[in-house]
Amino acid sequence: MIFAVDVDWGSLLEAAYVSAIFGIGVILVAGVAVIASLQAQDRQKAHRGGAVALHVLTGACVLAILAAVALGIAVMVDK
Amino acid sequence: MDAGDVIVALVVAAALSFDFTNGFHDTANAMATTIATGALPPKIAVSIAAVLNFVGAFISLKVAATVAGGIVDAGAITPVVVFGGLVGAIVWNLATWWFGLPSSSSHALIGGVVGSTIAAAGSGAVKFDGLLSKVIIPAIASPVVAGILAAIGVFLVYRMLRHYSTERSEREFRWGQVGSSSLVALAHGTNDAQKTMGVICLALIANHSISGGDNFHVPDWVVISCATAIALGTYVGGWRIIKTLGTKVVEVRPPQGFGSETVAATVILASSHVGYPLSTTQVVSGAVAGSGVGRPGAVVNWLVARNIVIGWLLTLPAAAGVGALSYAVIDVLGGSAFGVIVVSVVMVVGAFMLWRANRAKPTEPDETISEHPTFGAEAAREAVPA
Repeated sequence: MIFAVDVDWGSLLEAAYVSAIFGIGVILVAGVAVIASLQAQDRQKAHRGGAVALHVLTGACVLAILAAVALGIAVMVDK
Repeated sequence: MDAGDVIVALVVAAALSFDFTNGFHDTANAMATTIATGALPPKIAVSIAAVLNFVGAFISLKVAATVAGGIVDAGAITPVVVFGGLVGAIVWNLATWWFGLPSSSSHALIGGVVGSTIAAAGSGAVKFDGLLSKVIIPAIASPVVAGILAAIGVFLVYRMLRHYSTERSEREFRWGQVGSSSLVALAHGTNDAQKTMGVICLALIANHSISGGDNFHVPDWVVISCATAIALGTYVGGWRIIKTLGTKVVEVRPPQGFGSETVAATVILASSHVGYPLSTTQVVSGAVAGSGVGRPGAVVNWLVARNIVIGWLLTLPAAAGVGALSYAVIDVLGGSAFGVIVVSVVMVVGAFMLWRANRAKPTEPDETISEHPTFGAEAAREAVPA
């Protein structure tokens, strides 16, 4: 019966995979940012090198997440 | 002022009341997980949500002029039908708030309008195909998709962080949690305030107070009043629902809060982009439950989850029933302003009694924080050795 109704399954599927890519993607990028931040803290405490590079990686991840937020706001405005 | 103007004035009052209940009913969507982990104190969290809901209402004004467009026959919509629908939605929102159930305000509104339309023009005026394809199928799919994505995302992030102490790694998610919750609050303001604007415009067009068609323009006072009503409702905070979503479905930890709100925001925005406006409540609830499945060691309280799902299943028929009853009462009283005034008075008295009952047995903001918060004064106390 459901399949007899004019449902735009293509759009529903598109919404699902776009959500999967961005939703899980942002969570994983945040995970990388947290690991980089924790590693940087540990290296600084131990006076080991590489902390700056890890801080840069954390910053890059934060910027990527902010870009995703900006994209989300653009979608709202463009609706 | 003629009888039509009186009815429209009462429709506007009912719409703003619905908008207010929508705000406090749905504060939980954005902030329950943030409050539960202690990432933000309860009052600060609801204040941020209120401001973002207010701002969100101004972001886009491409109002869906018919909130139930494609679901009911536009010719059957009159101010009294809209009023009946709003009564159905308000009553269901208040009832579910009392029981702490996060149900969909949008579905309550659609259900109310459908019920009121059936009472006014018969079931032939309802487009059941549209109801199934635009409301019911997305309502079934969205919480499931959000739950699966949140479970996968949270599982992966805990897997990535398994070499670090839980306490240390979880604390890093604080600002991510605040950011993702804020995005949900903004999206909620954009989506839900517009529905009320659409309802008010519908009544104004039907009364020839504003013109529809190509010259359609949302009056500034409608935008400002809707934004204010939803923001005030959000600020008041529906603590009962915040408590359910933040502490009763699953104990929420910061990565879960971040993961569930991030997934909820992306599902809502992606669906909105392809033309499927979803219930924020259902998406967030599904994501919160899914995040519990994804976190190793977390236990989802499926009994609470089941009660929430029962609430969702009842939303459309219950709001439709109240909407139909409201219309029938007004019709029996002559279908005039008098009937609308009588139903308004009954609703105000009922709301007052519920408010009194809530004052006798309130849910305090502090009860919405998890037993073991990650941040805040409570967490600091727990960290001090006895």
